Amino acid sequence: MEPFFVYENSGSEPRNGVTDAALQPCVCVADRPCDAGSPALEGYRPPEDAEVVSRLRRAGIPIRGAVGMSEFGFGLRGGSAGRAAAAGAAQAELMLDLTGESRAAAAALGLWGFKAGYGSVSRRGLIGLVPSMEAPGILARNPAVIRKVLQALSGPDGKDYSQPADEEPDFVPRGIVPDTTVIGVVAESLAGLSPDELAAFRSAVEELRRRGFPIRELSLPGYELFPLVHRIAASVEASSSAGRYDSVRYGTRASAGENWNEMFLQTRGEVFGPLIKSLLLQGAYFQFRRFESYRDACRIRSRLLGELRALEDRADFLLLPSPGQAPAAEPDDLDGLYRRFASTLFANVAGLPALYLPGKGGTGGCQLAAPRLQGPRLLELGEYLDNSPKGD
Amino acid sequence: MFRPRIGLEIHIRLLTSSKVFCPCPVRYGDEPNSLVCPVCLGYPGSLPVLNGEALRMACLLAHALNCSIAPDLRFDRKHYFYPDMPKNYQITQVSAPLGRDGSLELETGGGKTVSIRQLHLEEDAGKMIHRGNRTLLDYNRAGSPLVEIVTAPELETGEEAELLLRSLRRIVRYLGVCDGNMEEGSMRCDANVSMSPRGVEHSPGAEAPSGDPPGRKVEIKNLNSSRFVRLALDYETSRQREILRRGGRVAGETRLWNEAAGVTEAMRDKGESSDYRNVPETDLPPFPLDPEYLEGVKRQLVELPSPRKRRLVRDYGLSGDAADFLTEEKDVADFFERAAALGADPRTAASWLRSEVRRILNRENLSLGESPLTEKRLVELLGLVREGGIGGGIARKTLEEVFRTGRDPAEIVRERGWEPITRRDALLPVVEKILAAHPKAARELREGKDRALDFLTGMALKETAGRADPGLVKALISDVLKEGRG
Ligand SMILES: [Zn+2]
Repeated sequence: MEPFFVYENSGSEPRNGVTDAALQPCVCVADRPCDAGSPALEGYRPPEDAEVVSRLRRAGIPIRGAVGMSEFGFGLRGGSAGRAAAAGAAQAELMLDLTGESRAAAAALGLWGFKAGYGSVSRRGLIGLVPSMEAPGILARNPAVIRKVLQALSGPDGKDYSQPADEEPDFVPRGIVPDTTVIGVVAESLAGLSPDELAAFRSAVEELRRRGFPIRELSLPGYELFPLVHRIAASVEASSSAGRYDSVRYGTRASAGENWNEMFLQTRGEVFGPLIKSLLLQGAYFQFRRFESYRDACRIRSRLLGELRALEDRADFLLLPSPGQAPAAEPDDLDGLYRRFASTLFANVAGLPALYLPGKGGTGGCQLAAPRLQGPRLLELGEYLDNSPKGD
Repeated sequence: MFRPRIGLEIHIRLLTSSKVFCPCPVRYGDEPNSLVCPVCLGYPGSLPVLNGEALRMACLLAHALNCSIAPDLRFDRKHYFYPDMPKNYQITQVSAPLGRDGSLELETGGGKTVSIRQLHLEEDAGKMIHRGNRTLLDYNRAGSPLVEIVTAPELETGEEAELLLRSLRRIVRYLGVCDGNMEEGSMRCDANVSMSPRGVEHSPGAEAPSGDPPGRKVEIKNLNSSRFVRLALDYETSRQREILRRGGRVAGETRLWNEAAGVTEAMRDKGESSDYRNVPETDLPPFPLDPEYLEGVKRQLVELPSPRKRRLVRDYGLSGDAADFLTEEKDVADFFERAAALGADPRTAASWLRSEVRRILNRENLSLGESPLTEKRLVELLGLVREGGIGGGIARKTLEEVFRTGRDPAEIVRERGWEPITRRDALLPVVEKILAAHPKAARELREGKDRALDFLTGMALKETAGRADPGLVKALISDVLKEGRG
C-alpha cells in the first residue's frame, strides 16, 4: 500500500458498505498536506475539511489516505490516479476531473470512472483551476461502490452556488427497462476516431442493442467545437483562478526578489510545472490579447449547452467513445493533452455526469453521459449493465 | 469655449456586520489579521458565499437612486496582481452591474439631476503597510462590502461634484447603508475630467469626439473629502481649460490631488491598464433575483432627503434653509416632525433645533437620538416660552439643564424658581431700584429717547436673572416716570 499514499489515516469502521476511500491531495483534509500536486502549494495544510470529506466521514466511509496526483489534477502526467483503487488499497478513489482525468485513468486501469454532474457535489474545499468545468470524479472496480460514494457526497451544502438550492438528489432506484431507455449516439462524436476506436465504439453500440436498448442517432453539429471552447474558456478560468497561488499567505515563496512585485514574478516563474505554465500563459493570452475569442468561446458554449438540452427530449443517455488506452507517456504539452482528452472534455464543458464503463472480454469500453443532475440514474444504468446477463 | 465634463466613481462602504462573501466581522481598529478566514484570505478551495445583508443594502441603494435592477445577479473578476488583494482578483460586477441607468438629484444648485450609469457590489482589498524594505499586510478589511456608483460625466464644476457627494451622503445615511464619512474612507471618490467644446453634445456613454479630441479623459484620485473634491476639480478644470486656451492638448493620464500644494499632479505611470478584462466569477454562478424579494426591499425605502425637504417647506411653511438643515440627518427631521405632531410651532421648533439644540449637541458631541432632549421635552419648553411667559434667556438655561440632568423643562423651571415674575408689587421695587441706579437713562427717557427704555428694561431683566416679564417692566417704568418718582 505504501507507494500509493502521500499520507495515511488510521481506519475507522465502514458503515454504508463502502470499506474505504482514497483522496487526491486536492481534496482538503484539515491539517493534512494538501498541495494539489503542485510545488506552488508545497507544505500547504488546509484549516478545514472539504465538504466532501465531512460527508464521507458522516457516511462512515473511512478515508485511507491521499494518493499522488498530477499538478492541479490537469492531465494525468506525474500522478498515480486510480492505482490505489486498482490495487485494492482503497475501494474508491476521489479525484478532480477537469478534462476527463477520472474516466481516462479508469480506462487505463480497467476501472469504472465517474465524473459528477456540475452542481451535484459541493466544490467547497476542492482545490481546482476551472470552477465552471471541473467536478469530483470517483473511481472504483464496480459502479455500485461509485453510486454509494456519490450518494454520500451529493446534495446542496448551501455554500456552493453552483448547486441548485432546493434540489435534493434522487437516489431511489427506478429500475432500468431497456425497451424504453433510449441511448443516443452523436454522429459528430465519431469523427476523428481511429479505425480501432471506431470498431470499439461500434461494438459497444451493438452490445447495448443486443441488450434491448433502442439506439437513436442524433446530430450535434457544434460537437467539434467542444475542445476549442474548453481550450480557450478553461485556460482563461485557470489563469484567473491561479492568481491566488501567489506565495503571500501559503505555499512556496522564491527567496530572491527586491520587493513584492519581484517576489510574485520569481515565485510564479519557479513553482508551476511546464503543463500548468502553458495553460496559464495560454489563458493570459486569450484574456489580455484575444479577449474577443474568449467571449466567443463563452457564447459558443452557451449555444452548445442549449443544443444539448434539446437532445435530452430525444434520448435518456448519450453513448460516447471511450477515452482509450493510456499512451506510453502522459502528455506534458497542451496539444498532446487535448488530443488525449478529446472524447471526455465534452462532459466537462457541458457539466454532464459521465461514466466510463470498462470493456469486457478485450473490448475498449465506452462512455455514457446523462442530463446534468441525473448522475444517480446514470450509475443505475451502469449497475444494470454490470449485473445483467450478456445479451448474446 | 470649453465645457468641463466631470464624472465621479464613488465607493460606498456598506454597514453590514459581516464581510460580503464570508462571515468575518466588518470592524476597524482590530489586531491586524484577526478578522480573517479561508474565504477572505483566498485559501485554496474556498468559495465565496454572498452576504444577504450586503445584497439587500445594495438593492435598497439601487432603488433609491432610481436604477433599473438586473434580472440576474452576476459577478465577475477584475484582475490585478497586488498583495493586498488575496486572490489577485477582485470579485466585482463591472460587466453586469446590479443597477443601471439611475439618477441622483442634487439638493441645491437648481435641482440638477445627474445620471447614474451603474451601481454594483464588490469586495474591498486589505491594507499594505511598508516598513523599510519590508511590506506588511493586514487583511482585516479584505472582503468588506463596497458599492461602487459611477455617474455620467454630467457635472461641470467642483461645486456640483461636492453637492452630489453631499446629496449621496444624505441618502446613504437615510437608508442606513453607510455612515458617509469620507475622511474615514466610508465614502471614497475618484473623478474623471475632460473638456468638450461648447455646443457639441455627446450621446451618453460616448468618449471625447472622434477625429480631433480637444482633451483626453484625466482620472483624479486621492479625493478623500468632499472639499478636496471641489478644490481638485476646480483646479483640474482650470488647468485643462488653460492648456486648451493656449492651443495645447490634454494628456490622458491619472493625477493625484496634492492637498498641501493645492494642485493635481500626474501620477508616475504604473503601466496600469484601465481595461482589466474582467471574466465571469465562476465560483459564484449567476442567479436570478426574485422580483418578490426586490419588491420587499423596495418597501423598506424611506422618504429620501430631497422630497422630504420639499415637503417640509410645503407642509410646515419652513424656509429652504431650515428644511435643508432639518433633512441633513434623518433623525433630526424625524424628531422635528414628531415635535410638530405634538403641537410645537414648526418654525419655532425648527429654529430651536437649528440654533440652541445644535450648539449644545456639537459641544457635547452627541447626536439628537443619544441626547436627553426628547420631542416631548422640546414641546414643553416651547410651551413655557409661549404660554408660561418665560424669556429666551431662561429658556436657554432650561435647555442646558435638560441636557445636564435629563429632567423635564417644567420641573427644572419650578425647582430653580425660574418662573416669570408677573406681579406688579413684586416688580415695582426692582424698577424703582433700576431707575435710581441709572438717572441718566431715566432723564433721557423722559426727554423722549425710546432707546433708553430698552436699556432700562434690559437692566431690570438682568436684575431678576431674566425672570421679569419684559412687557410688565416697560409698563411699570412708564408709570413710575409719569408719577414723577424716578
Ligand atoms: Zn473571512
